[in-house]
Amino acid sequence: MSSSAEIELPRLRQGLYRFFAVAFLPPEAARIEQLAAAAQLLDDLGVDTLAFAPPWLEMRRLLDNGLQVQELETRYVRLFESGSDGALCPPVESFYVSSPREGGPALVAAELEAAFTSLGLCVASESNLEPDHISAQLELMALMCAQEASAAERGDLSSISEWSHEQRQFLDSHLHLWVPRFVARVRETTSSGFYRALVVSVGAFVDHDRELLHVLERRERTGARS
Amino acid sequence: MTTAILLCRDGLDETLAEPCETIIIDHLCRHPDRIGSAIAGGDRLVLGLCEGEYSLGAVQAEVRRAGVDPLGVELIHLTTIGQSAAPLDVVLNARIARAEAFAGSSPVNAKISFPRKVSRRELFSGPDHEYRAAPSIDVALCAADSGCRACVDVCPQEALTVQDRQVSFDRSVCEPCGLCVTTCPTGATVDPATTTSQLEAEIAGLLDPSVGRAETRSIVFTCARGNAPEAIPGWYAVTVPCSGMVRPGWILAPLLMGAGAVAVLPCSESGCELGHDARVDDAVEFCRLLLSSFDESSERVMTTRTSVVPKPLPRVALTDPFGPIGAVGVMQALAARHEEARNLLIDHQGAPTGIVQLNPVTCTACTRCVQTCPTGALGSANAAEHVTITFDANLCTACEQCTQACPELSRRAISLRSTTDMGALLNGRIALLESDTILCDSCGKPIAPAPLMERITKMLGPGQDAVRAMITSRCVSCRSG
Repeated sequence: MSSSAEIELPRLRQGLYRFFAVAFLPPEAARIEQLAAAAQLLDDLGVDTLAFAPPWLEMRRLLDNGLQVQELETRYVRLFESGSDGALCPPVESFYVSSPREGGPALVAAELEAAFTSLGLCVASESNLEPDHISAQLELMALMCAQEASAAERGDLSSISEWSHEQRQFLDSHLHLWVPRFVARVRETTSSGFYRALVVSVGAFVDHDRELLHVLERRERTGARS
Repeated sequence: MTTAILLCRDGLDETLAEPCETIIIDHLCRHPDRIGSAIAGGDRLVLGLCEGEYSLGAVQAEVRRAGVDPLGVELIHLTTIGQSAAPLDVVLNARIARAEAFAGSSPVNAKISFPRKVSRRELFSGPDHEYRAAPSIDVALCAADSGCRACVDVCPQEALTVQDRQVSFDRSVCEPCGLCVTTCPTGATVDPATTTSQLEAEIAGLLDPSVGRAETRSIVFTCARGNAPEAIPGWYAVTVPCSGMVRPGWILAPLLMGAGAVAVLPCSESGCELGHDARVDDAVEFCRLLLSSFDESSERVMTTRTSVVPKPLPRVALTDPFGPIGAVGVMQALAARHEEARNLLIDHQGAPTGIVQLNPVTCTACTRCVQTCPTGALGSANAAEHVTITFDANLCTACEQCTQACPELSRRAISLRSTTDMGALLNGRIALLESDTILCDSCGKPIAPAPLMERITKMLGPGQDAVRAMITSRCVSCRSG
């Protein structure tokens, strides 16, 4: 029989991954409203009690203070999409972990396409997202969390383990490799604003989640989680 | 700064007086949700709970929700206090001081873990994850860019690595033992829940004669991994992540702050579970040697507590006694009481200071040791025609980074002894080696120290006369011209 914590934790993590995946999409008034509502819901579920709460709450404070969509759009384009010399802080893995001269971006994209395909997914062409875009990677993590939660609801312990392991591997091989560098670059580039707070918050969350998965896996190996 | 003090009424039996300025809450251990409203805007917190009756994870969650950093919360087990001989007002005084010395933490300091001991509440609901403090590295103070690897070398879990001359820390494999913290020569590695300021504040609070009954008080360092030590009247516990991190300066400082004795206990009777017993023994043995050299009772320092301890030494004002080089100030304060202390020299692997010597025959004066020395104990002075390598024993923590960096170590160009030499401490900075400098024939600027040039030209071998002549007569800039 699964404990409620085994169901609740992946659901909470799924919610967080989805929240951040959506937050990194281009800003729209309706989307900002949805994010504010979702953040409140996540706090009700206990996000504000986790160790990355300080940057999360700072991001929430800005979200609740009423963001101007036009201003957000300007900042979003400047930071993440393109400026006169290209985006200042592209939210894509290949920018941080590969060399363009060696065909790195294509290799990263191919590796991620394979990861999506193995789960029966593809990045929808109308979204214009590269597979190594942060939103795509966070969405993939959300999906794996959902699978883990479903397995927990069914009481399928081996599936819980498998999905948890898949998540840890994906974090180690992708998000953990480049998100800290992305955060450092955004910190250097901009000193305030919603997107800075969002990036710092997602960095702290990814770091926290990777450690959580490592700790859970270690517990499982030693037979403490059953 | 406001410190809230919340105590669970269930833990306050008739032997414990209710201290003033505290908030007593019914069944607090079973209802951590009552913490938030009781804190009322406080940003520091001392919590008195009943051991085994609460879930630490649930308490930490409520504390964080109330806007207080859980890693800075001082937790007192009232049930343990009730059984011990330590009066609650003394313990509270110390923990309030410690809470106020907390300087904050960041998410990278929060290490996720699951409780070893499950509380009664958790028997029914499953354990909540909890957070333990993990160290982090202040890049601005870290000397890794000049080659220091002290923390990396000492970490038993290999949680620290050096990449691109920066220390990288993997929290997920760290078993917080604090060795990296007390080994760091520059104070760059910090455990936010066990800073030197917090230790100093707590110990000063425990030894504050204006609080509690008149008695000779002693300090016992205990390991967070172990059980609370058996109660012995007059002994007050200071918990650290691992007893192996306790350095000689930490043991000696309380003796000048009013403690009659200081003990360091391992986490269990069978010894330190992380295998750091030898470190504890070395530190204690060194302190006992030092005290007996000063004609003080070596019985002031121990690994097994005694019920009778010597009367405290006169109190001395100390500056940062628990800091990376705090031991020097503490030893100098002890030495000031004895005229013959200048001649004291203790060679011991537990010594908190070192003495560096350079071999004038094999040292090339390349100054790699100076560049690597994280504390500035080794220095150099460059005049037009010679270079002087200097050494200040007051700054040397015997971290061995200089010997590891020396390219002529196989020829014994440098040596480091774990030694406390009071004469050297009193002498301050001295010249270790002076060497001539080869000057450029063309511009007159220095090319290299003469012994280094001699070593290089010898290594060139036969048939290299033209190269030899060029590098010994022209500096890099003038060679191309």
